[in-house]
Amino acid sequence: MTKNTLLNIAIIVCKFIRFFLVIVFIGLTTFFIHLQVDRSFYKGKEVSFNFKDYNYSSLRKWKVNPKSADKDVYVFGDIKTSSLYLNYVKYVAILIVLFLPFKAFQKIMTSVKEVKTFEQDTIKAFRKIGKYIFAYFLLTSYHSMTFKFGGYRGTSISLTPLLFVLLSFIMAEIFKEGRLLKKENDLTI
Amino acid sequence: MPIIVNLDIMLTKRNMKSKELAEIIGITTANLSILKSGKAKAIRFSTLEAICKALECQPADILEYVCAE
Repeated sequence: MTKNTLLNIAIIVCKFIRFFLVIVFIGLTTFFIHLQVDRSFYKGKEVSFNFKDYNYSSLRKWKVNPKSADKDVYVFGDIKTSSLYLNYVKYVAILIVLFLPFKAFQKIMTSVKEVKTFEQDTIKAFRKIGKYIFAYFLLTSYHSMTFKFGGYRGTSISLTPLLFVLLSFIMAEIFKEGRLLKKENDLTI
Repeated sequence: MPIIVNLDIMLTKRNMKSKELAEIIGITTANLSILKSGKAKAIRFSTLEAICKALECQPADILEYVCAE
């Protein structure tokens, strides 16, 4: 496989993921609107809490009547409007901070393809990716949802995004060194 | 930089233009200009050899060390 084929595939994958994220955003917005229009449709749909992938979790559930079953309390149909709006904004922000790193990564791939690898823009793009992933880490750390008869609130921290943040900043530094070497090489006659 | 490139002097002595020299040694005029202006970070032995051959001179005729103090 030639270098360009691999880069082309990476660019196509980035485009596909960005398109997929736009579709998810449309789906999320449709769900957000429909939930407000027809709450009864979501009466039986339970909200699942899956935080197994998190390294640290301090999530606390609470109910007005402790004896009532989870499937009767944590349902989309009973979610409070303020909580719904907050969660919608949160998930849209998550989608944005997932969309932007792929855009930056696509930019890097394009610059490598055009043999402009060690440019200032590439270094900036890596730093941007790091910042976006850090924003993703912050957004996904805090969870809060309030229902009519209960709710949950707390922090759940996953270390994987932090590793990606570190990796992005390291890559930015490597490319910074590369840029200095390129500059020196350009000035070697 | 304490290393001075006296390429202009040698070109005048040999009555040769920068463009001609660049063509003979096989580098761009832009790169030759970088070399002449002292902006170059390094010079390859192959380039130095080509310049010396084209100008019929020694490396010391082109490069000069001037103490910075």
